Order: sequence, then structure tokens, then C-alpha cells
Amino acid sequence: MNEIQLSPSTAYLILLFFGIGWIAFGWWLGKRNRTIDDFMLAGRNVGLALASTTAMATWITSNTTLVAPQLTYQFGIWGMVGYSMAALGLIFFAPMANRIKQLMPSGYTCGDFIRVRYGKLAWYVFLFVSFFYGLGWLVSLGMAGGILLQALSGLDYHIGMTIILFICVSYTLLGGLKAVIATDYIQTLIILAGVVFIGYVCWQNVGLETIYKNVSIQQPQLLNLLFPAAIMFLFNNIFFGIGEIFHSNVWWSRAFAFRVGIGKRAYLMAGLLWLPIPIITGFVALAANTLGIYPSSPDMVGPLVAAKLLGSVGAIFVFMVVFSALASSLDSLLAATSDLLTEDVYRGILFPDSSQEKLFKVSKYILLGLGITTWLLCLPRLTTLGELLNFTGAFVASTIWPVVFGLYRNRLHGSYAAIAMASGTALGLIAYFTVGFYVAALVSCLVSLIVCGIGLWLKNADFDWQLLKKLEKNHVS
Amino acid sequence: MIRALNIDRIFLEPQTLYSTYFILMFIKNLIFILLTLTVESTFADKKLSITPDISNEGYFTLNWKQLESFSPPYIIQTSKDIDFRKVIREISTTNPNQVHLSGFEDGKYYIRLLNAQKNQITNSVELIVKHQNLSHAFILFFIGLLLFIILITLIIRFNLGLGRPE
Amino acid sequence: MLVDFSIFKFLIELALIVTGLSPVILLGLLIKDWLKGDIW
Repeated sequence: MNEIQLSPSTAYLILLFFGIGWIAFGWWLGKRNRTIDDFMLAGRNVGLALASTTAMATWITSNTTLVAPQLTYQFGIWGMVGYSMAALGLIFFAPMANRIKQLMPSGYTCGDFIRVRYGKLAWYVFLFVSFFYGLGWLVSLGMAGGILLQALSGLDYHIGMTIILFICVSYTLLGGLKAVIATDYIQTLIILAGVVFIGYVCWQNVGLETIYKNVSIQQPQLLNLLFPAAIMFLFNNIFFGIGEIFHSNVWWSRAFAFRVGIGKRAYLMAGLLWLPIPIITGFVALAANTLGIYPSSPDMVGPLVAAKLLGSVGAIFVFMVVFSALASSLDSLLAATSDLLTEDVYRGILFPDSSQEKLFKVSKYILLGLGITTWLLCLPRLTTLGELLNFTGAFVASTIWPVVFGLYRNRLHGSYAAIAMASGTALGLIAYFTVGFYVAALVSCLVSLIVCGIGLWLKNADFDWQLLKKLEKNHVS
Repeated sequence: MIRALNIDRIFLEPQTLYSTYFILMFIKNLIFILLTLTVESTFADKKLSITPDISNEGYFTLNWKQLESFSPPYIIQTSKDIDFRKVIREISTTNPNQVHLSGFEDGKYYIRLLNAQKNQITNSVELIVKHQNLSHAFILFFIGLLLFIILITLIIRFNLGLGRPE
Repeated sequence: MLVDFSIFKFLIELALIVTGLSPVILLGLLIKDWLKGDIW
């Protein structure tokens, strides 16, 4: 493993350099935040460039750079193509982003939508799904930060995890969504530069013909288009990804934050530019055996190939790319989850008469509290906690149809939306534990669709779209 | 590896031949078992293990420990024959105690570790690769595809129909 | 059914080109937004 590692002092230097830069940047951007709209939604007027990049950056996580090579090393062509299909979540969300902005010009969170559109029961079920997923993703990212920095530089897990969380919480707290979006832009450029450079060197120095020939001799299954397990997992993973994006406040908050008409173009561009990234990070894994690399564990195949091709420079690139990918997702998740806590729990449930000024102050405390909670949950390094992200597929896939029907049809009643999410989640979880992870999201999605279909047939909610514009607390049942 | 005793050259009366054959086969098998046990016990504390030993995806992790007297590089040999008569894959690694391999097709394989001088230094392990049933895979694939087509169709239809009243 | 080499090559080279152009596209968009005063 030594060849992929930087010295801890190099790692500290990189973390210090970027950490100070981003915190200073966040502080500078936050000086002009006056209202909760500035803090939570960057003033609701983000242009195309920043909008596209923030959507891309947030969806590029450490998994995109490390798990894509692993899946390609294990499942071959389908590993990388299947992974890149996660871009479909961004692409399908594109028209919905415009619809969301159009329906709710003064909305803050996805919870606002579900509460007004479907009523309290569906809202509680939805919040349960959202927080379970959000916290699961936060903890898995926090832990990944510590684990990866340790693998790539020997930095102690607790120190690395703490540093990453401290940096992300600090600039998000100081600058709000503006800091998140602006740092996302820089982080995207770093990630793209690193990925392209490593991919280009692999293409140039090893060669596609050599890779193809060697893989067809040594690992023939990896080029098999009829790889059974990969075909089996494909749509489950696609619906997992779509469910993640359709329900999560990470993406809804951006829809509210982007200027009118920008959402669709931004998400479409983000999806199309994101799509080839797992292909590149994946294909370098196919060069592993050609380069005489036989990883001891599959998740390190990417960094091992990069280090072999580029030496210590490769290790630095990988470190910077992974750090940027982690930070760009962590900051978004911190911001979006604390927005949900502020708007839906603090204002929605506990203190409905809170003023905007009060909420602006409270949102910062909630963000800080969320950061500390995440840190505490990451401290014991319970990998089972990180693995709980695996079965959130059953949770999030159940929200797809209630969100789609809710945005475009006023017929679906809240009670059926609630039942669809609850039953989809329950049956998806049962399928997860009895059959396997590769059916959880699919079962959840199917059950949810059936329940929504029954609901559309049996009852007409005749929802008044104007209620969303006014964000009324009570809805017409 | 013990070779089979050649009994074809022993000429005796038919009945005696018959019973002698069985006695000799018994002794041969006994020697074979004893030798195998001896070889295995020699390597018992230098254990090569495999996870999983039945792989549905063609990938697995090999783990070996307590090889202080043998330092890397190691040679990993894979064969479809228990006696490694024909080695189908041979790789060299400097990993100290673990390697993850992938891309194997259906079949039964035997794997062992050698040192750089090509002497066997661990026991051999058996791996069965049995990929998922392709028809089951396609069932799930087509269910997923159907849901996918429904989703795309609805999103497109809903967005095209936004100009019209409910 | 092994993937054909030409498809393999096309997929990866297309991915490299698109990803290589992405920073250029995104920088261009930012400059355009900045000149119009439209960043946010």
C-alpha cells in the first residue's frame, strides 16, 4: 500500500492549503448574507455556470472515484457503464427542477412540498425517509473521509475525519449555500482535471488494445456483456440513484436556489457531463493486471493504478481528487439536511410562528449541531453504520412515484402517497434481507407504483396548485 | 504428487489377480491419503484461504498467513486440475498476505501459492465459480426496464402536457 | 458475448473527450455569466 500513500506531512499541507482557502472563501461570501434566503438558497438567483457545476460536484462523491474502479474490476464493462447510469437521476430531475421552481417560488425544502401537497401523514413518512437517508449518507461520507485519508496518507482515521468535517462545517456555516456552490465549482475543476489526467496517461501509456487483449485473456468475464450479476443489479442501482435524487433536499434546495428557467438546463448539463466520469475512473481498473497490479482489496485498485502510472504525483492527484469529491458532497449534505431540520422540524413542527430573522440565526446553530452529531457518530468508526446506506435503497425508491405524481398531477391523495412510501419501504426492506440487496430498490419502486396507481384510480384529491405558491400550512383533503 | 501404481504388468491367475488387484488398489489409496495428509499438515500452519469459495460473480479474495520464512514476491497459480497439471493462470505479486482476483468464468479451480523459486509453500484451495442464473438476471432486468420505461414516458408526457389544463 | 474492441475503444475515448472538454465548457459558462453580471 505504500506506493499509493503520501507522507502524512504532505497530506497535512494539502489539507491546510485547501482548508484555509475554502474557509476564507466561505467567510468572504458569507459577509453579504443578510436573510435566510441568502443563507439557505444563495439568494434564489444562481446562474447556469455555478448551477451546473454544483449539481455535478455534489453527485461526484468519493464513490465515483473509488467504487467505480472497484466495480469495473469486479464486473467489467457493466461495472462502469452501470455506474455511469446514475447520471439518469440528474437528467430525469432536470424538467422537475423547473417545475419545482415554478410551483413553489417561495419554497425552501422538499418537505415544504410534501407537507402542502400531501398533508401531515405523508410528510412525517417522507421526513423519516429523508432523515434516515441524509444522516446515513452524512455518516458514511464522514467515515469515508477518515478511512480514505488514512489509506492514502497514513493520517490517523480520527484526525483525518475531524479535519474534513471541521473544514466543511466551517465554510458552510460561514457562507451558507453560496459557499457550498462556489467551492463546488473549484472542486469540480480539480476533480475533472485529475480524472482526465489519470485517464489520459492510462490511455497513452498502457493503450486500449493492450488492456483489451490482456483482460480478454486473464479476466475474460469482465468484457462479457452478458455478465449475469451485473445485468441483475443494473436497474436496482438505477432506481436507487433516481430515488436518491428525486427525494433529497440536496437537489430540491438547488432547484429553489437556481434562477427561473435555469434548473432544467443545469441539471441536464450536469447529468451529461457526469456520465462519462465513472467510465474513465472505471476503465483504469481494467489496466490493473496489465500493469502487474493485483490489489489486496478491490476498493484500492483505482489509487494503485494511478500511483503505478504517475508515481508520487499520482498519489497527490488521487488525494486531491478524493478530498475534493468528499468535501463537495459533505458540504451539500450538511447544508440541505440542516435546512430540512430548520424549516420542517423547527418551523414546521416545533415553532411555526418563527420569524425569518429568528430562522436565520437558528439555522446556523442547527448546522453546527448537525456537524457535531455527525462527528460523534463517526468517532467509533462503526462500519455497519456506514453500510446502512446500502439499504436506504428501499427507502428512497419508494418516494419516486409520490414525487412525480405529486408534481404533475393533482389527483393523487396524500394518504395514498403515505401508504406508497411506507409500504414500498417495508417490502423493499423485507426483500433486501430475504432475497438480496439487488432487489430492494426495485421491489420498493414497484410496490410504490402499484399503491399510487390504486390511489389515482380510487380517489381524486383535486389539489389546488395555488396552495403551493402561497405555502399554506393546511391543504384541501 | 503420488503417481498411480502400475499394476498392468503383474501376471497372476485370474482369481488371485482379482483379489491382488483390490489389495494393491487399497494400499495405493492408503499411501495417497497418507501423503496428502502429510503435505497438508506441512502446510496447515501456512494456510491459504479463499473468500468466498463459491463465487457467483467470478471474484474472490485469497488470504494467506504465517509465511515468515518466505518473503514476497509470491506466485499464485490457478489450474482446473487438482494436481496443477495444466496451469491456466500464473501471476506474481508482492502483496504480503492478501489478493483480490476477478473476471473468472464458470468452473472449478484450484489455487496455490508458490515462492519465487516455484516451490509450493501453502495448501491449495478449491474455488467454484458459478455465475448467477442468466434467466433470473433477465427477469429482474426486464422488470426494471418496464418500470424505467413507465417513468420516462410519464415524465415526458407530464412535461409536454404542462400547457394544457388538468 | 464479449464487447467488441471498437465499441470498447469508442466508449472510453468519447468519455475522455467529453470529460476533457468539461472544464472548458464550465469555465466558458462562468465567464459568460460573469460578463453578463449573472453569476448569482
